[in-house]
Amino acid sequence: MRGEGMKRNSHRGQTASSLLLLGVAAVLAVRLPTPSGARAAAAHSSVKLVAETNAVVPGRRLWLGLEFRMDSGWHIYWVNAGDSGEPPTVTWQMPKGFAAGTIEWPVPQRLGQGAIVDYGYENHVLLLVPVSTPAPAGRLSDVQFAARVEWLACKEVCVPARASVRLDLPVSSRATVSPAMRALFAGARARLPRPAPRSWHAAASDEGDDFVLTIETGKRERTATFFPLVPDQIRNSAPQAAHPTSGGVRLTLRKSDLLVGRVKWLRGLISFGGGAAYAVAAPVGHPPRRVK
Amino acid sequence: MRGKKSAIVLAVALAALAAQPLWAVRVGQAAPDFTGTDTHGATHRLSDYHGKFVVLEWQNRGCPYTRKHYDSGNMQRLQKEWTARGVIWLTIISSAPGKQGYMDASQANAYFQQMHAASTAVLLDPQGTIGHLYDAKTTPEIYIIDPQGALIYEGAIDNRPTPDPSSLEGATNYLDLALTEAMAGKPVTMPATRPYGCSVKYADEP
Repeated sequence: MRGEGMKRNSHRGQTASSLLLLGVAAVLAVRLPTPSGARAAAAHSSVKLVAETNAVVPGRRLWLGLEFRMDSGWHIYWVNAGDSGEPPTVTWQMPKGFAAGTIEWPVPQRLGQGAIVDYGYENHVLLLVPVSTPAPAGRLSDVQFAARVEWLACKEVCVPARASVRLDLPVSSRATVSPAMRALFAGARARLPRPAPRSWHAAASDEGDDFVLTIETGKRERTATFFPLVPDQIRNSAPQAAHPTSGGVRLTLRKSDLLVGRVKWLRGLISFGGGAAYAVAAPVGHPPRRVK
Repeated sequence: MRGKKSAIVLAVALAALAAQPLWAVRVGQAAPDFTGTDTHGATHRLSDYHGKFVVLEWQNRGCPYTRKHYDSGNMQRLQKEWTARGVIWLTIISSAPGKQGYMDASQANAYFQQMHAASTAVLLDPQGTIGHLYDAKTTPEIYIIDPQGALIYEGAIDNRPTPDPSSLEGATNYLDLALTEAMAGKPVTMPATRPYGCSVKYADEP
């Protein structure tokens, strides 16, 4: 009897101490930065800091990437999140002389139907960040890049997440790109918006409750979708009626209810289907010029 | 049975169509009238409050952004402060049954009592009728209506679109700003901002 009681107690003790250990591990997992190159997991999503090259070449631009993975059905947000949500934010820590540029945002997906439409990414996305490096100094051996990342992952509900990720890279006069990184970064660049060709012309007119955006590409475009870079200019959930023209397309964009004052420029991405999108800036109010 | 079901689906679809205006409420225009039932079964009609400032606050107790304001007591502080100055504060829950933030009347009463909330009333809007009428998109989203019935503010509660409670310190509270200005007879300098937070958990579209 007594022996059994002891046993039960010690078992209980073990459970308690393993729970305590688990608790300590959980706290450590949150508090300690992840080891170099490790993926930091949050609920339903994770992030990892990667570099295109295997070394830092002083004086040469380096490309880093924040590689997000989301559980099936979960998403994170574009720089303009749309009607709800918020884009990820990054606070960098890197040695003196190094400077991170702004995130290159891939073309987003329209998320949701009905009254609330957001812009973001499902499954997997690599956010590219250019880093300028100092001129050759000779003293540096290893460089530690660290990023504190905060993001919101949503499906039906939203889970805020934060993580500190790190990557140590050697300094070298030469750097190579592994096949895996080559594929990853090439895939990310293929998802970036392209600059609109110089021959194109974009203009918009303010027509009461709508903006009418005219894009002249030189050929008839059957369909188009506009992704606004600036929040609260157009109503995200409104259908965008596309009227093909001989030299492009005319899109009717319902104004946002939150729009106050006059809009001088409509800036955003235009997609004609097929995944590719182009960055456009259309002055508002000037009648569209016809391209011959 | 099947006929009845499709009739219900049709009725819901028509209701959804009717509830979705082509363009919703705009700052400076008359706020659309509505009737809602609160957690004690009382009816509130917006037009009953003509002559007073009215705050509409969209709420979802599970949303991390809403929780920032409730767990910290920030929302309750605002509710106490402004209702003490004669403002009618209507907290509205448009979460559909089964969705995050949905509460029946007794659950809501228990929750808001525990939170020491001080709004005038909590309206239960599980069909999303008021939410769609105002085109409420996020929790917490704020609308302010002046004593003449015009919408004078629509958008975020403050300028810190994050669920982090530490962001409350030093934040510019748009609700405070708009009500302070409007009560002093001044124009509202920030009449519309991008609402932040979770999407309102409306019933799925038919």
